[in-house]
Amino acid sequence: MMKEDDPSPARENAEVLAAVQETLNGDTSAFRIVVDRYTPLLFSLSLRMLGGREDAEEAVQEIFLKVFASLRSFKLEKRFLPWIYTIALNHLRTSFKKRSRRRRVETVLPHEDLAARPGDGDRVGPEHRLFLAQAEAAAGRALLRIRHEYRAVFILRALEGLSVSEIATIMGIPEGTVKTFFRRARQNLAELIFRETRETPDGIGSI
Amino acid sequence: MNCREWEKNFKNWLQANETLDVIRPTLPRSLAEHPAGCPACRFRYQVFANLSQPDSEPIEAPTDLPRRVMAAVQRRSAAPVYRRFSIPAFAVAVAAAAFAAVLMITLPTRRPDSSTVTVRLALAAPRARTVAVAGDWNAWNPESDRLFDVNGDGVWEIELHLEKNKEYRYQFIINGESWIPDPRAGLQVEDGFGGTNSVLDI
Ligand SMILES: [Zn+2]
Repeated sequence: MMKEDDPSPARENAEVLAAVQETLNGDTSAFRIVVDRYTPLLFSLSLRMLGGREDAEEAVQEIFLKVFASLRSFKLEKRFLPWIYTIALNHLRTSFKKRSRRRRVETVLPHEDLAARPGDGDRVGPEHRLFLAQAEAAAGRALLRIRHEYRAVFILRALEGLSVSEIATIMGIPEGTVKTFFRRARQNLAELIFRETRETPDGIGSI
Repeated sequence: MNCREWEKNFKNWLQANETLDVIRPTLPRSLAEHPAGCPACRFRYQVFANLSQPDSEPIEAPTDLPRRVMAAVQRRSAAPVYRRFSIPAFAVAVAAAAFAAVLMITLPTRRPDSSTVTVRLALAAPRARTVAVAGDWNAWNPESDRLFDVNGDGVWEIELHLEKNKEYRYQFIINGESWIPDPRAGLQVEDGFGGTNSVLDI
């Protein structure tokens, strides 16, 4: 049974589509509904794909500008989410290349303020928090070093929790390819982690 | 088990357990013992675990980001649309691509009884290695619509079948990295990032 506040994809899509229609009718402020709904998702995706908060913020802004500019070509009978993901990934591929050229990749952790985070104090000591922070930083850096397609599949599947068929739709590739990319992403990541932690005496933090 | 053996066993186990449904399989006891006593391998495993944990720590967007996005959107929608013809556009394109001597032909031909229009885009770029076009119709994918220089005259071409009665913004991408507007498009609009999009109105 459908409740009034049912958050199902169909209903969510209906609200977004109504906002899209209003935007197309000339009410730009209706686009705010789209922006509010997808900012968290696009920010998290962009941060993982690019590694830096500032770059991620810039990317989110540019992705929404592209979405806004492309609204007329969106087919209203389709689902909005895969469409916005497709635009986002295409944009992120280009901006990752640009920023890699601009400067060496430097990772900004989502939890750079980890040591100061309240609530953990009783359970884990500062050394363990540092250990976790270093591991997280190394994980983020490893992700930035694999191929765009592998990284995208891996992030969408393992970290954003999308299904194989959703990812196939978004990226315009067969489901079998999604699975292959996921497997290769994981192998490459494991390889990178071992290779980069092998040489130092304690093996820590050297990726 | 030493570190090297553990690495080998860990990778083997990984390969044997790489089904998509088990994103983070539990480490078997035989593999859990070594890292328990070895900080380096404990770290390695922790890095890997971080990569396999859905929303271990939800990433939060800056609270004012939607507002900033909307401000940019409002600026964009208010941006003046202006017509510009080939001479200044030529200069822009050459500055951007340095090597693209440019000539552009756009030929929309309407096919009877069809909701699509065939549009031919062409760009003269004799020294380019690749030319592609990204725009509203292909979700700005720089790799989905490539132009080809079939007869080796330096003019790259593509035919697109686009829906009628729509307006499409687009740019050419040369060698996968230089984005330039179509120097011969009748209509150019600011793209909001300091660049220019070409507009096809069909
Ligand atoms: Zn070890």
